[in-house]
Amino acid sequence: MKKTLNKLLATCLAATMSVGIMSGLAACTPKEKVDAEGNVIVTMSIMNSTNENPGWLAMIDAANGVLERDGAKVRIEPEIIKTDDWDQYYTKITSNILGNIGGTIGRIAESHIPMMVDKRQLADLTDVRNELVETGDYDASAFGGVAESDGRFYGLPSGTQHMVMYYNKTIFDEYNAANPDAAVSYPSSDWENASTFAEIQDTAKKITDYYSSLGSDKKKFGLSAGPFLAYAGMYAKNSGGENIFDDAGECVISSQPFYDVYDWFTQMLVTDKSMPSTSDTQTLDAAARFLGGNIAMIIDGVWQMHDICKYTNNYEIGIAAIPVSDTQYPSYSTTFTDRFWASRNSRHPEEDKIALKALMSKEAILALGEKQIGGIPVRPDCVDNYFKSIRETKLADSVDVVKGGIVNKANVPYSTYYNIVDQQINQKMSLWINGNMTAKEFVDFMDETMKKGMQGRL
Amino acid sequence: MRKLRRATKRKIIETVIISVIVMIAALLCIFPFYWMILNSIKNPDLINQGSAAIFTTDLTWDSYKAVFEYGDGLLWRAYLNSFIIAAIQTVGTLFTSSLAAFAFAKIRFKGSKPIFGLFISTLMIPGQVTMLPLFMMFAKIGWTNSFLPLIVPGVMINTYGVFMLRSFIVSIPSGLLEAAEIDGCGWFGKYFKIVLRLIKPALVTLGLFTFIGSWNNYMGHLIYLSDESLTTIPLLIAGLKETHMTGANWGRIMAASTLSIVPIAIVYLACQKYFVQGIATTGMK
Repeated sequence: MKKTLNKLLATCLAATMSVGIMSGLAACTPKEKVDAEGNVIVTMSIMNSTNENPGWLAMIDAANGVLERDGAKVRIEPEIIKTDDWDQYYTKITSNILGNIGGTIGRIAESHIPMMVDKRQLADLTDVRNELVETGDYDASAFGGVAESDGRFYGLPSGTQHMVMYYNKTIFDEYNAANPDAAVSYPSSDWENASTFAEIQDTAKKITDYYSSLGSDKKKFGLSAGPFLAYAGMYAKNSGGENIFDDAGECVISSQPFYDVYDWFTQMLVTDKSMPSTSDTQTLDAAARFLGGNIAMIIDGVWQMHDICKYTNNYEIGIAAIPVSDTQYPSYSTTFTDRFWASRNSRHPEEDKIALKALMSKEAILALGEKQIGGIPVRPDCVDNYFKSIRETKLADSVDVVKGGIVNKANVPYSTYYNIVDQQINQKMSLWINGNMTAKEFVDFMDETMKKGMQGRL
Repeated sequence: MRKLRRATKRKIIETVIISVIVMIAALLCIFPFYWMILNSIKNPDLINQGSAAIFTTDLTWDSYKAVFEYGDGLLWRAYLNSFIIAAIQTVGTLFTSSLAAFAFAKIRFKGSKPIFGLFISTLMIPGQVTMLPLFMMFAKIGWTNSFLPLIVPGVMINTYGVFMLRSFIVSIPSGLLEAAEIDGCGWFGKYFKIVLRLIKPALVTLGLFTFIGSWNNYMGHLIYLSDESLTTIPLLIAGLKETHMTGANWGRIMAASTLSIVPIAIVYLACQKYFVQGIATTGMK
């Protein structure tokens, strides 16, 4: 009996192994790169985001429509990479490029472009860029920045996204109704006359204190803002300083505007506790807390507009300018421009370029914008349509504020070493937030780390 | 008498203190699981409001429903794929690791110690270092977008497994194997009939570690698998996230995470007896 059982077990194990190996072998059969109609299939890698996917998929559909209309024997297929992290996405597309599998075109955050250019992973898209500029569809200035190296272009802009301050009007109104003697105003929506750091700090403290007094289950935070390196330049410019580097390219983080900015953060994070701490955001991140009505104000990107429209049915939301240290300074906004890329190792580089041109077409950009995904279009004839789509949402009144943020851009000075500097600073951040490091010490550490990065010592 | 009473009293106090410490430790271990399960059945709106309530009556199965409906029932495909990868890797690893461990522990051959030392030193190489070179190799032989690169390397070499099983096999008295040899057993006979039976707890422990490691190998699955039909549980959970900036649908992610640990929990409970025994005797001679 025992022997029979053992035999049975051994047979089952052998069968399982065989099925697995066969399914593995079956799956590794080379994929057809041409469809039944003879079209070359170009695969486009996009990072998974179930609420953004409809926008990107609509864009691909529209681009395929353009390709069909123009008689191009190319079609685009999406490859949704199952990650919500740009670093993991980058690892995946790096392996795809090295192994010559998966997407040969895709979209990636601006922060990773310098590394990809430096590692020679990207195809030269200068001729596509020139064509798009020559037709008058795009302004030449739209293609500069991180994707340009030695006069060649290795990425095409997929849209710009900048920072704004969202605020929950319902919380403000509720607070004011209960505290008429200590009322607070909505933050300013004027980018030339933004609310000051002091005003925002005061408002955040009042709101936090009031809701804390109602009991721990009613607790709300006044403000959430990331004190990250990517935004440090924006806050410093709003305090009369420089965006990390001065005109001569020298790192100027150890300067008074940066000290002032991080003192402001220290006041709210450590003293007033009007901002959620790292332990608070570990249980639920700040953006989700804002959507749920747990935070009154949040400084975040325009990419949140889609979620705000979708998830804040119980609240009225307003949009304001980024605060400044003094009203003499205009309000700047950190602006990101994600890029479309093409693999240098692709077996069909010309088809990749045809696909990218279709993705940069008016039809494709309009399809993306209609879903309010991808940020503000870089293509001028699509901008109005994007804002028109926002006018149909609960953020209709804030369209001009969002537009205003485009004017005073603060681009993040991404470089090949930027991500390492950023990681090292983030690792140290908890020491400062937990009070084991002063704001000045933290700012000096940021400065030192950036300088080490510039010297290639990281 | 008084001495005895004092000793009893001390014992009671000791028991109470130890029990309290153990209970706190147990609560700390259990709480994340409780939190995950609670959030999977909690009204998703409550999660987004930042409610940290440990108890709530506002419960719903909506998150589970969403997971089962996601991608036209992709969950079942992901379960099957994850199971195929984990099961084959586990069985293969146990076989090859125990065979190698037996050789290192009981067969005297020239250079066995330096070879074993060299073998063990590979434990010091981080997985991240070998990830891309391995990927390149598998891409060259056309194994990408298949389960093979996720199964074969683990089956061929599991240094930790060999190291662990060798320490068990070394403790088996050589006399036992010599007696078997007198009875006519060859090396494979000794391996199958004696060694494998005696190291059962260690095999179960290693099997569990391998199964869990393979089941949760998100990065490997992400890199090697591209087709939707090859989706595994870690990829499915990553795919459920709403956006790279917000986790607006945490209920769904918690429901998927809860479902993902069910097979591991079943395997663990079924093997618990051997597992505890295996851990307790690891490294004993």
